[in-house]
Amino acid sequence: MTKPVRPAVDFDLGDLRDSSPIESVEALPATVVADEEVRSTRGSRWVDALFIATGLVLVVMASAQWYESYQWLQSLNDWLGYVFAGISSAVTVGILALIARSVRQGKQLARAKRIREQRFGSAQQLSKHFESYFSGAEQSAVVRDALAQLPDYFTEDEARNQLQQTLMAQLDQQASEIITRHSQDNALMVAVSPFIWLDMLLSVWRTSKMISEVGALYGVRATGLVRWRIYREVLRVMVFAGASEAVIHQLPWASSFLGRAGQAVGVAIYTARIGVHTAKICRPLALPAESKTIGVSAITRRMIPVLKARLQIKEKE
Amino acid sequence: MSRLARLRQEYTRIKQSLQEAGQQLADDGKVVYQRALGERVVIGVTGLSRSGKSAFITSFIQQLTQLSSARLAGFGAAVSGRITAVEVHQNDAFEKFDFDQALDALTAQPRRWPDATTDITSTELHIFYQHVKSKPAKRIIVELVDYPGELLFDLSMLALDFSQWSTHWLKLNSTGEKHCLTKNFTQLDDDEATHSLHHEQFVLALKQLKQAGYSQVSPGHMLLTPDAYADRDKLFVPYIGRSQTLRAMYEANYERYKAQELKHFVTEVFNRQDRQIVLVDLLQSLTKGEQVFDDQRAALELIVGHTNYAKQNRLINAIKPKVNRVVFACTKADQVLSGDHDDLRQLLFEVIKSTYEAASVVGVSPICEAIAAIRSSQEIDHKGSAVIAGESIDQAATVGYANPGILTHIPETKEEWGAYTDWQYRPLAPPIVGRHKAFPHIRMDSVMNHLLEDLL
Repeated sequence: MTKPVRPAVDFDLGDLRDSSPIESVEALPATVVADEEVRSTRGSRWVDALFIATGLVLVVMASAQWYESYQWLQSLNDWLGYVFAGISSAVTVGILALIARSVRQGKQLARAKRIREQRFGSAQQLSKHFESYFSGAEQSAVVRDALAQLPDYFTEDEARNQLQQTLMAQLDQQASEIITRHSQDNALMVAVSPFIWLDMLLSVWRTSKMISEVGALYGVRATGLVRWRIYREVLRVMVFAGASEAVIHQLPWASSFLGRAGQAVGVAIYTARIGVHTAKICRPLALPAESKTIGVSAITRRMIPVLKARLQIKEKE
Repeated sequence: MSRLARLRQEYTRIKQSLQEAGQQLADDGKVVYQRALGERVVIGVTGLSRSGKSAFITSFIQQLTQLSSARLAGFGAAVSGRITAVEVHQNDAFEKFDFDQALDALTAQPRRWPDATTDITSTELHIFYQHVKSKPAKRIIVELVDYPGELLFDLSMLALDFSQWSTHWLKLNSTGEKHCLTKNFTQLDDDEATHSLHHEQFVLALKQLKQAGYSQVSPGHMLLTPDAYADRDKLFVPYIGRSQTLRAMYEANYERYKAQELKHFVTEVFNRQDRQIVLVDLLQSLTKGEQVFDDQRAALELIVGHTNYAKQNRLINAIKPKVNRVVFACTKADQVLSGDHDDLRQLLFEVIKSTYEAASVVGVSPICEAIAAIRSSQEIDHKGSAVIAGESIDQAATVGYANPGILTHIPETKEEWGAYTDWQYRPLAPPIVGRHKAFPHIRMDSVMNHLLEDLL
């Protein structure tokens, strides 16, 4: 049986004070949304329960250990016990604050995923989620401008498409510049540093900085746990996707370089790959497959001539 | 007059005609050259009568000439600021599309919709732009060709001789409401009928069919300028009666009409377009019921069936143009809630499915859009309900309503049709906009983008 057609309704609009443009429809409670997201992205309930149980056991054990230490110190001297209690409380508060911040940022990452993957039914609801997602971020004014440009008759698909072409294209351009800059710098540092351990330290520091900047650009403050999650995601991609297409393309050229130059190029490509993946998972709209701005190949193409020139100069020196 | 004088006169006449022919050849050559280089594009604004062609062209011109106030977020060239200037020019080969008159009507007090198209008109828009790949500013001429929807259905005559056409016409109007509307003509007594009585009753029947919302009303010229066809040497009506004299007269006039006016329309106008926008007023026909809707559908199929769609080399297209981009647009989308726009597109797709698929096969990727060239309503939230609000056509009252839900298929049951035929579809007045401001619209940017983005 076919669904009945929604009937037409006439309204007496004599009193337009009760009316408002449709854009002002109430937003969905964003906080509720965020809580749901965290639950949905964490995987199986059993794993959650196992984590919580292990956590509780550890907390109980640590508390017992702490209490024993406290009593022992107090038995030596009352003040020693008080100082220990004060210092350990401050450390605990600090750790809890760090955990809370990471969880908050984790929620932001989950919200990005939700906006990316879920349908909200209308452009207005998508706008509300978008605005709430970027609230407090550096780009909030730019985002508000972009959302204000969306006509009220847009469907959700049209709004997504429009935001891709305007706001996200603008952010992608900036992200691409950040990734290119950090990848180049990373490569050059590796090329000039004489020690392996220094290479590693410099790479980690530079890449970590890049992740923070790219994440912040897309509305995610990537520190602590969030950064770890991104690394984990990147490693997963590296393992499952195998060697990147860009690496394959660039290998013949890279192999013609001797020693550190080749290594530097490899580091640059790897850094670019991490940057692109950071952009992918922090972006509130899925990165279009045909994107020419954010892509390892595109970034590598831009980067290689610069690296080639600078590394050759260094070799001559 | 002396022989010498006569010779001189003859020489002057020949010289003049040669000059004219040369000029014509040069003009045509220039147009072909411009088209081959992608510097000129001809957009045919197609649609049955009352589908909103004049409003579309007026809005198209106004959006581009008032770019600073236009909201064209979906039109890349406008958003990126690549378009630097737009000028409106007259195309000498055709009557001028009276943009000023249309603008006067829309901005006058009381405001009115532009008059319906009664003649073939054209306007040239010279768009100056900065191409993404080249530094110096470039120019493209966008030729907008408008023609009365009434002429389109006459295209079916091209494949029919007089007796075939007569039989077809009479059969088409032999049942239901159409029969009632045309019976004064079709039941004329053959013995008493004269050509003037035929003319009078035939024109009346055509007018009544048009009034009732039917699209397959032909011949279109006779509907637009009935008096011009009252003479014995021009009139033709569908005739299968006994009078050999009348039959011979009508047949001769029918063939002349086909060979002169219709051929001219096809070669000089219809087959010149290389991009096309097909405007369809689905809402109006839905509210008029199944017969009118089916009639519109058949008429549309026939019209687009006459269009040559093909993706071909630009040079070949300049010499023998074929439509390589097409937008099927359901007009007056401002009369339904925005949540129904997707369904409206889907319904339009259902209506033009066969044409859509035929165009896709030859490499032309058509799009279906729900548009309002000039948006006359606002969507508001009224006590928790989404409502279309606008001014009544007489501008005396504020109108508020929620349209019946739009089906994504052609209505099938009596109940489904009832939802539309019971709906009091009320036309709204144009919005209040100054002469130097772009009109509010729905998805004109999307249409412009599809028709022009590859050229700018």
